[in-house]
Amino acid sequence: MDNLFINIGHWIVNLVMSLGGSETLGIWIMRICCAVGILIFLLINVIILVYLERKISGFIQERLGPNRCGPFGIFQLFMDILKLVSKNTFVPGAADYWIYCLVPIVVFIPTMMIFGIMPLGEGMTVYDSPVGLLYYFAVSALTTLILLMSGWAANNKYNLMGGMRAAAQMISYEIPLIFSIIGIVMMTGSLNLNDIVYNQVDHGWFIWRQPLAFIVFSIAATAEINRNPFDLPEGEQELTAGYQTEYSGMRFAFMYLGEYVALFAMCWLAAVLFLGGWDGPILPGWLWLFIKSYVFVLLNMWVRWTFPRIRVDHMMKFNWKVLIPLAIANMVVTGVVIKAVQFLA
Amino acid sequence: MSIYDKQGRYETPEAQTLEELQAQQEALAHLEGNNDPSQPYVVNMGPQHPSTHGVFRARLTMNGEKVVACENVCGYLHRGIEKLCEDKTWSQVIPYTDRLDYLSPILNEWGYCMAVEELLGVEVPERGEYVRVILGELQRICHHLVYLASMALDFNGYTAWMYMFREREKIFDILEAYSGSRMNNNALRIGGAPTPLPEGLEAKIIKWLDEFPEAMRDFENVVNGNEIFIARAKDVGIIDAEMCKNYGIYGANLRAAGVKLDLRKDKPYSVYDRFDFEVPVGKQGDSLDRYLVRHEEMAESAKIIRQALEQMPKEGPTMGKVPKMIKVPAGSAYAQIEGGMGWLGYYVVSDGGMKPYRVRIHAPSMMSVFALPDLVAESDMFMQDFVAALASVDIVLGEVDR
Amino acid sequence: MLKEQILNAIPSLSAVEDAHVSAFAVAREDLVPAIMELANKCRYDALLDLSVVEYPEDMVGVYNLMNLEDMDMIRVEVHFPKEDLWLPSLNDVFKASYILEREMYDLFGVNYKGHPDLRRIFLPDDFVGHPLRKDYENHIRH
Repeated sequence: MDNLFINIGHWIVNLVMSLGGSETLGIWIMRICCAVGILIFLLINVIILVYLERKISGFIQERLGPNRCGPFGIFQLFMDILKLVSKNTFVPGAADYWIYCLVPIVVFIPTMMIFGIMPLGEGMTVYDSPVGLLYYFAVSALTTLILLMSGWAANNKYNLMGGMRAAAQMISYEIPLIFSIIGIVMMTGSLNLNDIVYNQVDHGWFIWRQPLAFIVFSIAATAEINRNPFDLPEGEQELTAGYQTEYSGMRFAFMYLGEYVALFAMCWLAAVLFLGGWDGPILPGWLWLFIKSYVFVLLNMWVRWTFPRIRVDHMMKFNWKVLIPLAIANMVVTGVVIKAVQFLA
Repeated sequence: MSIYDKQGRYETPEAQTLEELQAQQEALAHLEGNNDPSQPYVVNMGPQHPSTHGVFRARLTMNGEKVVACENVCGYLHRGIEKLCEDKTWSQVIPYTDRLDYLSPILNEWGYCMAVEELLGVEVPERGEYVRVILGELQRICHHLVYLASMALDFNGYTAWMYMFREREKIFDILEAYSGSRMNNNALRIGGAPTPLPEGLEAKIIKWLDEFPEAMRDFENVVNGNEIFIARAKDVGIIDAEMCKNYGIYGANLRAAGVKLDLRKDKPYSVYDRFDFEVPVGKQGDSLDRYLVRHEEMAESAKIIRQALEQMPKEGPTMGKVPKMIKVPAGSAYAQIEGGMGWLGYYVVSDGGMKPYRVRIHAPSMMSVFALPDLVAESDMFMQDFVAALASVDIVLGEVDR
Repeated sequence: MLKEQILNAIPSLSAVEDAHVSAFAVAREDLVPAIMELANKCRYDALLDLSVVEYPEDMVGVYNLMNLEDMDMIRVEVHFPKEDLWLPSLNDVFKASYILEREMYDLFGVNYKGHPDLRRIFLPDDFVGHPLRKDYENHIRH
């Protein structure tokens, strides 16, 4: 079971080679299969996430949640998508047409690209990059640009405010997010995500070894993916829907799904960095990773349905005056301890 | 008069010229005290906006995230109820008052009935008064629940909203058992209440009263103690006592500013002088105080209901001696009650006929909402603060626009 | 406060018969000083309501005031002819009058002299007619 997907990969390569192709061709075809597989996996995952979100909000708010469409309401999202598909696609007259239409298409791309370097299980990385973490943050920062694009293109003041809030917030919170991880990188000595997991398998999970970094990371990550209490760019009560205000129909659905994919990607990264990746007994590694990332997803949903939204200046103050100093302090202490241990040894 | 005649028809508004638009831009760019090189812009918050609680429009002049100026535009829900009342008989007006503050219809009816009863000189029997107090206080809790819920929702506290609406549904069950409808009850009559509480309802109310403190604890846990909520509500939108009186804001918003003034206590109408209850007051009149005052008021209302249930006479009529066709002697009367949002006043004028000559409705929420432009001008507000202040002054557009 | 005391304190007021509340009449030129004195001397400093009633013969501006110390309510009436629709604005005394006077202007067409921003409030700016007037045809479709 543990090597299920790896075996499938080997089988594809062998199949291509037995049909007369070279090994390089086989590996490339395997990579394409991986990409398609990840895409399907993510989309199915989004369905689960949306269903979970509804059921969990129902649970927290002491109501039933969706329960009419199919058993336990599991087809609710399909009906929603059906409704959104049936709606007219509409571009506001004053909008910047190309950018406006481009946003729902590209909104998936950064998060899709992230999964290219992500370990999906032991030995299950599509492209095992030596600078995986750097790549992760470089690519995920593109999301900011996409939100700003949607804010600008629709030519609506609410959209623009949402876009500007998104830019300000996501760029600011990227700093504590990255600073909090530097401790891990220092301890591992590598930016490779697989190396980080192997280090955790050998020496214990980073949630125990870097607790402060974990706290800073989870707060900054919540802000980075615009979830409550940091959902200011959407800020329903102030900005109606923030940067998505002018999107409707299927375009809105894509923006909506894009958010959940980003949430899942961030939770997956948290599981890899802090919860020991695929490390776990009995069950296969890829299932462990899946379960661990869902722990983070559930935590996130719990927070979302409990907290009110933070104010825009508090959000900035909290970032620059609390999170960044904490992250830097963590970095310094980690460095000192590493050097001290080296010196003593 | 044909329907195309001029009265009430809209003339075509003149198109705004480019020069006018430019002049507007210029004026905006040179707002007083604005040393920022950035350009202010106008955001129309409403009429369709999630946090304007109805069809209310605030024309906000913004500078980045800051609100520089605000202009209230209302009237989207104007149905001309004062005019409609002039065409109805005295008792037909009551359902119309339901539609004013649609969150506390029974309190609206009560105020109107009190004004007419004063003109008629009708004495409401004791039992009828108790029924009114019980229903009215239930309605007040109902109103405050919606207030608290919608304020929590404006801070994005969905869960609190759900908890409070759940509790409200339970009250609706009780009101439905009495009047037959959940909202817009039409429960009271001129001269009293139509029937005593039906059999079994008392037990139901007591059962609900026993459960209510636990629900209150839920609200406290999910909202009142929340760090983010306090940080956002504290020191935001301060309307102090002086300002309240100047702007004609009385009732819960004034109490939040620290003035212990409650019509039920200080000028008791009905049988309120027989109950033992506290008047909660706030400290400085910010959004948090306004929230907390109402939160505590719910507990006091529950206390009043319990006492009223104990004291209520078990025998006797609930309706005073009112003729079938009500003819009110000529004259005028002003009656006011402690409504959900403040002092709700009815000025009723009769010419001795079957219909009211004039019904003037003094809407407390209208006074609060029109304090906002000056509040914005005085204080340094973010858009989120404006949302918090708007939510906390408690407006119901049915009443503002009438 | 007794009706006679108020009448003695403010000579511009004259008594009006009313079974329910102490009511006074005042000439519209004296309205603002009278209300000011009521607020300052007699502590009737809460403007509960401001409205206009149209009687067959004339219009009446009605001001309901309250003394928040002994919770006593009075009514001040200002009679003015239908041909000459204006009243002095109370804007200098109570800020609350801003909105109420705008409303009365909207629904009755009463011009409040000294009001800073007399515009329609409920009805659109280009609406013709004042609906609460008795001569307003309210059975036509709009």
